[in-house]
Parts: sequence; C-alpha cells; structure tokens
Amino acid sequence: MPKINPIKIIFFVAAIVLLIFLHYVKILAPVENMLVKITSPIFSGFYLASSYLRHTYDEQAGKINLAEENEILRDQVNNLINENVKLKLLEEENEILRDQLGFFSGHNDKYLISDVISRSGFDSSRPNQTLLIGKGERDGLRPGLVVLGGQGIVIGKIISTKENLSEICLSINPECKLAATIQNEDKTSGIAQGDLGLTIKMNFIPQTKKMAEGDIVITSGLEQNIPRGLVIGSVSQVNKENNELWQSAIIEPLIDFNDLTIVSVLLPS
Amino acid sequence: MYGKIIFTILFTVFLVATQLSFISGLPAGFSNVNLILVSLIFISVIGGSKFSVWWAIGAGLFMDILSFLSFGTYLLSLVAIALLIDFSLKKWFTNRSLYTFLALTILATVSYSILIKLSSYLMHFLSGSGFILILNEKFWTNELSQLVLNLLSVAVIFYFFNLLSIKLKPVFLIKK
Repeated sequence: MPKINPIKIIFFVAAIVLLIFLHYVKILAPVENMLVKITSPIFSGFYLASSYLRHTYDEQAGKINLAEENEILRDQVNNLINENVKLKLLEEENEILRDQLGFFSGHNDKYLISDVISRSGFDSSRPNQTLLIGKGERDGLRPGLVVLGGQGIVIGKIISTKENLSEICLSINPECKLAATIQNEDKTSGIAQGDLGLTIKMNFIPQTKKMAEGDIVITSGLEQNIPRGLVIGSVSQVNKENNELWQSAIIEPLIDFNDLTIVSVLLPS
Repeated sequence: MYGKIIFTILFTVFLVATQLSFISGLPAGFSNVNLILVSLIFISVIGGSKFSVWWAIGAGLFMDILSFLSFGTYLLSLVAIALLIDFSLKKWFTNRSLYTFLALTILATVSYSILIKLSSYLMHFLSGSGFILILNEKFWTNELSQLVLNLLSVAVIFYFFNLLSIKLKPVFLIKK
C-alpha cells in the first residue's frame, strides 16, 4: 500500500481551499481580470487559426465549391429576408401609426462587436452549443442580451458573464429559449427552444394557427432587451397531428454557427 | 528554479489556450481531444506526484478563471485526477510502458468526465436552473470518441517522447 503523507495532503487541501476562498471574496479578481485581458488576444488568434484549419479541412473534404455557392446564396437570401422583414414590419408599423397617432416603437441600434474566443469552452461533450466571447460586464454585457451573427441574424443570447468574458448559448442549444413570432397571417407566437443542438423547435402552437414551411420566424419583442423583428430562422417542418392538442414547428437557423468568428451583441438602450 | 517556474506557467497558459480556443474550434471529432488531461498524465508519470499536483492546481485555476462552471470545479477535478494517477502508479502500474499510459488515460478520461458532469449537475441543481443531459447515442459516441482520441494522442506523444528521451524506455539489467 503506498504511503500517504498527511501533512502534504493537508498542505495541498489548504492551498486549494485558500484559492477558492480568495476567489469568492473577490481578492483574486484583479489578478483574474488581468490574466483574461492579457490572454484574450492569444485566444482570438488561436480560434482564428483553428477556424482557418477547419475551413481548409472542409476544402480538402471537397465541400468547398458547394459551401461557397451555398454561402453566397445564403447571404443573398438572408439579405432579402431581412429586407422583407423590415418592409413587413414597416407596413405593420404604418398601419398601427395610422390607428394610434403618436405611437412609435423603434429599434435599439447600439451594438457591441466582439471576437469569438472559443466554441463550447472546455466542455467538448456539447459541441456547437455555446460560444465564448472576449467581452464581459466591463463592456456593459449582461445575461439575457441577444447576440447577432452576420446580416443581423439572431444566433443566441448571453447566459453568463464575467468581468471580461461572456458565454453565449446558441439558439440550437436546448437551454436557450427565445420569445418568437412566426411572420404569417396569424402572427403565431411561442417559445423557440434549441432542439438536440441541431435545430430550433417551437412547441405548444394551437391547432387553429396556420403556418407553412418557409415562414420566417422573428423575435416577438416580448423579452426584455430583445426588440421585435430580429430574424431567428425559417420554418422547415410543421408537425401537426389531428388528435393532438398542439402543433409544433421545426425552425432551421439561417446562419452556419461553425463560421462565426465575430458576433455583435445588441445593447439595451 | 525561477526559470523552471516561468517556463511551466507559460507552458500551462499555452496548453489552456490551445484547449480552449484552438481544439474547441477544430472540425467535429477532433475537438474532443483533451490536451490538459493528456498533459497531466505525462506530467504525473515524468514529473512525479508533487509537481503534478502543483501543475493541476495551476492549470485548474486558470481553467476556472475562464470557465462558467462553479469556481473550483476544474481545480478540484484535475487535482483529484492527479492524485488518482499517482495512486495508480504506486499501487498498480510499476513500469512506464505504453500500456500503463493507455490504462491511465482510460482511468483519467472516465473519471474526469464523471467529475465534470457531476459538478455541472450539482451547480445547476443548486442554482435551481434545469440541467439538460441527454444520454442519447450522440452523447455516448462523443464520450467514446473523446476516449479514443485521448488514447491516440497519448500513444503518439509516448512514441515521440521516446525518440527524444530515454526516460520512458525500459531498462534491462544484464548480468556479466
């Protein structure tokens, strides 16, 4: 039986307990913040190198031609969708304005752009479900703020923050919930929640509501700090059974979460 | 002495940065390698128990600063793994062969995975938020691929280390 030196063990346990204690009483905070600030550019560089490698890997796997074409088309579609959403919202807004003079609901245009420094952090068991960015409470970020990718498409929201770091749960993460509206005649509202880390699901939609594949899903504006009209995705499948009380919709994100290297956080007014 | 400490700190920062930003961004499958755990196994075998526990404290502390799990999760998990490896090396594995490294990798990967999942569950349970752990085929495939990739990494580093050093080569006493 190997010999165990109790003094050594006590010494190590004391060191660990002291470190944890110093963290919780915030004595370690300046050191931690400095460390994160110094190492953040290294993380961004490493993440960019890794993204480049992933892109090269995809290229080697023969996906590049399709991927490029797909990307161009997707960008075009996203731009058109955004334009369409804006026009529809303007139309709606116009109607409301005609009815209620003096009412105006504008969007908050304050954004904070940040580099992505990691995908899923140290937890590789749930790939592509969270992102880490190198901006945090010091920059005015806090849990609940919506995060946008290219062309202003919603990619998720901030779930936790530290002084110089924030964790984003992607919209495909089951822990990420967004108040959403399907942009159709019925204006069906509900909660869009990540499904198995692959797609987004909108549950508990009454059977009477009409929706179809291709309908655009936007934020409903019912959540604090998340304005109405930000595109979440498009309906790719409608699950409707006559004997069920509710119907559900599968929403496909309009952006490839693997390509995210820079994101923007919508700041509150 | 100070040179060694500075080198160890820089090496740890490099490893943690590689794990957090580089490996996590690699294509699916490759992102499952746990470089910190693989390094801890080699450090435990080559550097001895005292050094490995100090290294685990340093690396765990840095990981906790960068992680959103409860502070101390990675610190305690890595120290526990370092102690487990030390215990196994003293109790069961007397030689330093590839098989020893592979067995230690299996032990460390499984223990680490259980410790981190339990801590996450406990953290979510105590904070009152829901913890969604889906034990489907994808989850088990992911866990298995992490184990296989860690084993492969250990085997590659073992042979590479053997090319550069005689520290892990078997020694035979020949009677003349």
